[in-house]
Amino acid sequence: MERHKKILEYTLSSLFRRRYKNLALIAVFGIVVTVLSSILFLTHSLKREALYVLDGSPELIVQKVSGGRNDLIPLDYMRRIQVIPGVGHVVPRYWGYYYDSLTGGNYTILGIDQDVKELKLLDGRVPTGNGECALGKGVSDARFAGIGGELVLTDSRGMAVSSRVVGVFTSESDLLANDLILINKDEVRSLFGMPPDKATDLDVGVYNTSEVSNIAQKIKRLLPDTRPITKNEIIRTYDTVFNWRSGMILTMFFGAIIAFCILAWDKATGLSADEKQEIGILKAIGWETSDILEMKFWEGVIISLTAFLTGIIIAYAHVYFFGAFLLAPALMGWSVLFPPFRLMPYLDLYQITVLLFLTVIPYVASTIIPAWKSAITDPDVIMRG
Amino acid sequence: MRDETSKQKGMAIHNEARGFMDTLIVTENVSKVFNPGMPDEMKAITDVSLEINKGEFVVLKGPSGSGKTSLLGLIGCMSRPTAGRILINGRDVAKLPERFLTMIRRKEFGFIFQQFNLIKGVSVLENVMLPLFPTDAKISDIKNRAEGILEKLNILHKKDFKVQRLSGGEQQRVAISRALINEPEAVLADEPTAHLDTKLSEDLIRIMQELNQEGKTIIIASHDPLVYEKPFINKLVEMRDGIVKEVTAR
Amino acid sequence: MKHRAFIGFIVGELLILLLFFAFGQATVRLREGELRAKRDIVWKLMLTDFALWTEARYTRNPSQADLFSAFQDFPSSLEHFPAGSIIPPGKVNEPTEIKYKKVSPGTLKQWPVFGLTKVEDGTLGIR
Repeated sequence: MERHKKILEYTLSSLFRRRYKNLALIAVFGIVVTVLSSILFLTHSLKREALYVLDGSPELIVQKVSGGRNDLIPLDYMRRIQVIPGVGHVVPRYWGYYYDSLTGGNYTILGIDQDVKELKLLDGRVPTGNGECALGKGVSDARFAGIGGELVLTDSRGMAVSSRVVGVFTSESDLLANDLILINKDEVRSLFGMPPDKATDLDVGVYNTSEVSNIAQKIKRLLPDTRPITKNEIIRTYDTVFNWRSGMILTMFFGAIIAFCILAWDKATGLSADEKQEIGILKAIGWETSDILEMKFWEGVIISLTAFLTGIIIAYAHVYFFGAFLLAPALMGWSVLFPPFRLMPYLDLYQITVLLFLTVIPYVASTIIPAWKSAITDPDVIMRG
Repeated sequence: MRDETSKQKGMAIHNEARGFMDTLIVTENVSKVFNPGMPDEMKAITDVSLEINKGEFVVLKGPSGSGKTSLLGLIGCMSRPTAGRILINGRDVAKLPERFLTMIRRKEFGFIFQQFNLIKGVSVLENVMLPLFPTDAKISDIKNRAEGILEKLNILHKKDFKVQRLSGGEQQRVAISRALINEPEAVLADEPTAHLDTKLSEDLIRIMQELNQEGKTIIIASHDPLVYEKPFINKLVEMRDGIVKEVTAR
Repeated sequence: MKHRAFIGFIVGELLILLLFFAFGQATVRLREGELRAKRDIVWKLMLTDFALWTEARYTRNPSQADLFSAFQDFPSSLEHFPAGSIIPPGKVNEPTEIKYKKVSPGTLKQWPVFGLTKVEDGTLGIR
């Protein structure tokens, strides 16, 4: 035990002698780990939250498709779907996108009917009649319209429509409601110029959730120009989006991994003359090959473990205490309204372990292996040289 | 051959005279070839048989290339012979695995190199303590022992200095201290006076003599007359072209 | 003693991580109510997506997006909304099954699989 402590002590002294170089190594390594683990934490949290929260989504959404594009769905279809055995409720949804040239943002306008009396996470109240609206926090901020204020929108005929704001969603609901404008569903129809016999799409409930795909198939057969979307597909979308193995996230990942490989490459391309001489002297004064290799092992571990742990700590603080402010711009794209991140701190230990194995172990290996040749030289080499 | 018989005779008389002494090192027909079978093959030592007893002051004399450094390395368990046996305290070490060889080396030998080979950037104290780092001794114990040795050699006051800031003579004393940290049976020195002026050379030889008087076996490889002409040398081994020409015992 | 300092440092960092982990667990429990409230909103308002990428309609509701809008400008239109590069295209259609059953000519039969019709003269038509 003493032996290991002493070799560790010597290694620390040795690293300290070249302290600026080694601090730089730790910094670069640490930054790579921070970036990678920030991405992992962010996507994992969003995925877990989506899994739970979007479980409240409709079992089936039925859209109408014309010429490959989404189209309004005739209310007539409701009747035909209702008779399919296993179908519970069939409720029309009225909603659409609204582009606000004033702010350059896109809002989602959602129509509700009278039986939605109250909503959680809403300050104020739910709009009851015409001329009232409830806003997501993002819209409210963008248009400077708080409770009691006024929201003016332009309808399909170019006329201004005014609404009184009676409710604003709290910031906790941002992830869902940030860009929402809730109004009475009749007002949605007139705002978008929707014909009275059509809706945006249909929310279909089923009694037995295991029957969902069967019923979806039946609907598709019955109404061939529709496209049923199951809740499963909805959740799976987010599973894919936030999967760290795809998309932009993978690109960022790769960038970081390449940086890391460059780091390891520098180590793996061999020892400097100084280092070789040091090993030669140590062997001459009585250090064995295993002691030299242990020294190199500690060297790798000291740098990589310090960098890894520090990187993870910074990443955690960055994502869960500071709302991932460095990553948000990359994910935000061109969205004008982007909800500030208040992520749930779900940690996936599997991901962290994988990251540990992908970074620390290759680094330690790239420190030990190049030293192998020097480590096994005969002690008398230093005398001859 | 005439040389052979006189050598054997000398050895026989020597052995008789010192028959009761403990033999520390015996080499039997030892050869060392570097890079065997390759274009740069070099026969450093051929068929050397030697006996060194405890407490002797031995000098290996010869010009550069005579094989004395290689022989010193073989005796000090720093490398293995290509042929022959080496017995340390009666034990054949030639075929031992590295672990055991190092153990014996650590127990029996202290080495002073021609270039000192102190580690730059490391303090005097740490340099002296280094050989014992891979052992299970406690740091504090090693530290105490090191400080004791440094004090004996009058260099304790510079124990925290980085070695490259020391003068040649001071570095020499650090190198000697390092060779003594493991309390070895024998101290081996390879051309220790090669880069020293006369005064420092005499200093070093005096220290070696003192160590010898304390009971340590001293083996020095040198072609410096200042070393091999000293009267207190017990055994002078003359070497040339990898073979022992003559052994003079006193 | 440097090695003690180093070991202390590593242990310290591990403790911090443990603290974070405990904090995470506690926070999740504390905010359970918030999660349930969000699910409630999703249920009441019949929502299907997070309001993350509001720049285009196929990015705002990725689970509802049609294939068309992503390519609306040009068939091989490269992605022009940054968020679109994060969201892969979803699966649109169910996998197609072809079931085949021979029937005497002169009858029109429809098989219980999407749009496979056997026409009078005995050939297969696929819808």
